[in-house]
Amino acid sequence: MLQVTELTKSFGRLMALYEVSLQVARGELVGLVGPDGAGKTTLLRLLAGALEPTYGDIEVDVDRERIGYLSAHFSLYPDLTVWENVEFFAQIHGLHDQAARRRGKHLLEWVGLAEFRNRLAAQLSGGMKQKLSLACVLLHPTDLLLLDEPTTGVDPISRREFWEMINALVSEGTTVLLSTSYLEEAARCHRVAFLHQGKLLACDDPQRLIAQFPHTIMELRAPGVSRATLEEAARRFPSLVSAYAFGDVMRLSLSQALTDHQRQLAAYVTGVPGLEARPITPSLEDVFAWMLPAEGVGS
Amino acid sequence: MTLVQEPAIALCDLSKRFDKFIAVDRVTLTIPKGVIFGLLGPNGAGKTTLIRMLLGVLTPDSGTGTVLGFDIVRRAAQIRKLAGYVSQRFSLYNDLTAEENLVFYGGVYGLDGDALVERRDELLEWTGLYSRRKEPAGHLSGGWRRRLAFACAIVHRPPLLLLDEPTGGVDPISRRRFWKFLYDLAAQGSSILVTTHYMDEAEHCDLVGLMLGGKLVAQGRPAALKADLHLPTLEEVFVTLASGRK
Repeated sequence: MLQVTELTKSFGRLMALYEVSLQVARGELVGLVGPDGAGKTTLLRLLAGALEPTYGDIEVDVDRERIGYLSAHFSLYPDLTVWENVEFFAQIHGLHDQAARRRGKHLLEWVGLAEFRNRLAAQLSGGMKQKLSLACVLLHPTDLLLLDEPTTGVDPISRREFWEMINALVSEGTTVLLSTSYLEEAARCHRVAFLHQGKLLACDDPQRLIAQFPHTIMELRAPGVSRATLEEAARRFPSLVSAYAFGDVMRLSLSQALTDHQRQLAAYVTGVPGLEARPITPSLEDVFAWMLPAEGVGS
Repeated sequence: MTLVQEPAIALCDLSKRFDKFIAVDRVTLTIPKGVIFGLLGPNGAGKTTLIRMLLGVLTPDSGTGTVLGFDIVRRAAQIRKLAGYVSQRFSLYNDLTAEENLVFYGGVYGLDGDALVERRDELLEWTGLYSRRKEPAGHLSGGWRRRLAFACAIVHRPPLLLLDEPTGGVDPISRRRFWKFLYDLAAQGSSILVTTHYMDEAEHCDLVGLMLGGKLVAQGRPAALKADLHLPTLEEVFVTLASGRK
């Protein structure tokens, strides 16, 4: 339903998107992830028709009016109430009938804003604004939904509710592309597209991406020991690629898995009493940290 | 040197209402020094209001509190001098370069001369902004602006940092690095209060507190909270507690 070929967009000297090719099937849910400036927003805006490509092709097998786009920036009217925003949005999309009103009411209830229908949009919290934006986008029927960071600043409960709606839309056949900075959200997508500095580094099923990860992740913990000591201990592992603190544990990426015997000796080798080393499943975060070229990412 | 260390933050029955809406409802909370405390809660739970009271920007209706030993009402000016604050909307001077912003904020907090230059360069190095130090803040992308705002907030080595959703919309790899910064600061003795909607970040904290409808309904070590409710993740704890109150 969506075919993107060598899609490229530059803004002056800045190459925002470079030769991205991507195919999306009807009813597919694709998550876009990548660091700041990776090109996620540019890609979504190109697909929404809000930007013209510098070169490359987009073929969308859907009517323009049936593409829904939610921008990362709040684009509703702060001086209108919640309900007035819904009505205004319905009107500019030519939805005047009772069905549209009912849908508007239903959507407000779903996003938990029904009781705030008379509140000015300006007085909503960040998460509530995102919910209102989403409700407005969903007012008209959409076959292709493009969502730019719809859950940023949204609390975990509202995010769960949001995802229930997305899953419902997808199971009804809506195609959804969304960008997110939550990798556990990306992991729920059929496929994850990883962008970096305008290039598409990978696009695959989350499980397959994780299966590609060449290293072993090991968690170090020792009761009552400081982070500094754990960091010190991490450096004792000869096959260490990288390490980072996670709460009271350290997570190490090792180029070679430890044998059970080596794990049992961890406390002895590092000199940290009670030190436990336990292998854990790599996450998408580990995969992307590994895929990122070292240059330009900072220390 | 005092033998009994006073907490970084101590609040007793702190409340704030806006008209009929109770934004913060009798919050009692003690945060020891050198601890990373994660303040969690749905949108509108009162987290930002609480932080604004800690900074003396809002006056509580009732209750008492101290921050770094100073009364939040009577000694607010002193607190603002000592605390570093990064809000959801950070204020950088877009027409000043990255290093000029740091120098400006350093000056505001009373740094000058060699000490300021040294601190400026140290922060530019630490945050990876050194190669971009001559760029106007307005030309930096979101992630770099955020880092600069963070550097500006800690230019005076604040013993307490208040961070209101510092990582909203930040990609996971950058968040991982950001947390490395926080661990470094905590290891140097800073106390940190941070709000977040990322439950993986909440797991990073030494202590967390969950606010719902203005009330602090749970607090403790992440491991203890999970064990109490026999749940595997803080996300589950959050959702269980919050939906139980709806």
